[in-house]
Amino acid sequence: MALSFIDGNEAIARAAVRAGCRFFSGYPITPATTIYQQMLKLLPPLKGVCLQGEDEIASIGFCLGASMAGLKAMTATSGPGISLYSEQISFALSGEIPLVIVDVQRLGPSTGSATKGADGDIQFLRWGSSGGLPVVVLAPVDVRDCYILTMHAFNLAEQYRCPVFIASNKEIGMTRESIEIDSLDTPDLLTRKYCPEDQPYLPFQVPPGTMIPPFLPIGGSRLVRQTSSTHDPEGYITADTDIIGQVIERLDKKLVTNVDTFTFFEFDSDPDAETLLLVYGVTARAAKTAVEQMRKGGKAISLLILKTLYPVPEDFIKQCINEVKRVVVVEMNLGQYVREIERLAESQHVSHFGKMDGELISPELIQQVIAL
Amino acid sequence: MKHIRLVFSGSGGQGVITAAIILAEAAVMYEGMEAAQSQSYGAAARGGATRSDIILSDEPINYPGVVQPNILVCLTQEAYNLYSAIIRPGGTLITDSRFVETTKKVDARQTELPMYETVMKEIGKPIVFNICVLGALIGSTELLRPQSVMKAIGDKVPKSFLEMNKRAFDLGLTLAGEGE
Repeated sequence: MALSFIDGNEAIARAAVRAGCRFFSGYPITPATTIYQQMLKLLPPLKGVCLQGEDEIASIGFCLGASMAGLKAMTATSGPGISLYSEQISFALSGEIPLVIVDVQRLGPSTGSATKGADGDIQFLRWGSSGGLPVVVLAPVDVRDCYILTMHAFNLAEQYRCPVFIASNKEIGMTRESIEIDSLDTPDLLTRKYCPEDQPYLPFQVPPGTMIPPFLPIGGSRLVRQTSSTHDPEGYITADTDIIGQVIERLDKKLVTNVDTFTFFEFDSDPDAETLLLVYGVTARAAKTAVEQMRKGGKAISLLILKTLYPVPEDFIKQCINEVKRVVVVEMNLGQYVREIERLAESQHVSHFGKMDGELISPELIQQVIAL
Repeated sequence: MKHIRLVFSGSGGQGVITAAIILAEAAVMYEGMEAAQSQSYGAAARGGATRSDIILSDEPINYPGVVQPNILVCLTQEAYNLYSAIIRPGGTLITDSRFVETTKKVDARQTELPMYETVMKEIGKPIVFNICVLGALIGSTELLRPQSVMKAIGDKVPKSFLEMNKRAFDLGLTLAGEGE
């Protein structure tokens, strides 16, 4: 494949198909609609299914069903759609249903502004399901990341049997850039582990030494049970508090204890720096320019661009912030991810700059904030 | 180092975003440059204010927003009123003389051209107005080679409409030449 000039949404669609996604269902909403349009072009020739649901709740529901039947599935929306997805996200968490959910964030609250960007859904993605169990949230910076992280998102959803979010932004999803797909460092594809033919199948039985139950598709020759309610290894509803407690603990630990293996980031450290600029998403692009300018002016500064936001890669972040005295978090909201940094910082002073008016945070503004 | 920032502005339905995509695509695919093209528009598909930012560079592009465009294209009065002040001093401002009455003195090379009227007179189809604007832009700035842009138009436009688009593009080039 040669050079392409595509936007972040098209990159997500192309990467999804390459990752083996064969089912997409969504309900149109700017700025996520072009993912749906791309999937509509890409999936039918591969005998995949691309479907417009009657609303967001149905759309993600179709995806859950497709995933239970064994397909790699994806849906895409923006903030107002994530609100409607909420209960189905909880279902995917409880039933351990692999699913990739793209949130091309637009300025909220509510319908807000359709073609203005923001990173206002970050904590919402983490906490917008009942029960508060962890989810994976990956944040791309540019079109290149949209491609690579989408492939990782499918791998993580399959490997851990969980919903995985791509926290994109209108300013990435609808921005076109040159990209050479062949030159990208993409991961090998993973597929959920199936229960071997010769072994009895209990839908939520976890083999010793692992944290993920093997999978079998519903509608196949072997009996499968699926439920969103608290269940035992056989998939029957249970009120046994010991079993419930063990399952909940496993759902938490399967992601939190493994986050080191899927912490994506760019860390540009200057050993002389006393200040670390910490950013994610499209703001990282302004941060790179700002850091370049400040270094040209003789100022020592380090830059951490986080691409795995949840579960919070705590050890890694601590390691990075331990190198400096001051951490400046800049994000396109009024202060969301900074809360995670504040609780991880020990002696470091944590300051925050956030803005949510539909405009990108500029490199000049970041320089001013750091100079304060 | 070449690093050019452009803003195209107008209203929904004028083809502002399509023109921006074609220009950026021409730079990437046929001149080996890096490009970033973003866009914003109102809720209305037609009639709302539309803006597209384009950066063309020899180097990888970080920040994709345009603060002070070297080249600003305004196709409605509203866009002109809103954006004429942001142009970089010494930049190039292109307006259509039917839609925009230039009122303020800006520190820029102002090129007012009867692009819409010429397209309507010579071709009679407003749909290629945006392509004429691209021709005028290339003619007055020599930003890219005309054949690169024409190739990018060819990649986007159905074959049966290519000749009409080529005529519109040439009209723009000619208008820019006459305007010098």
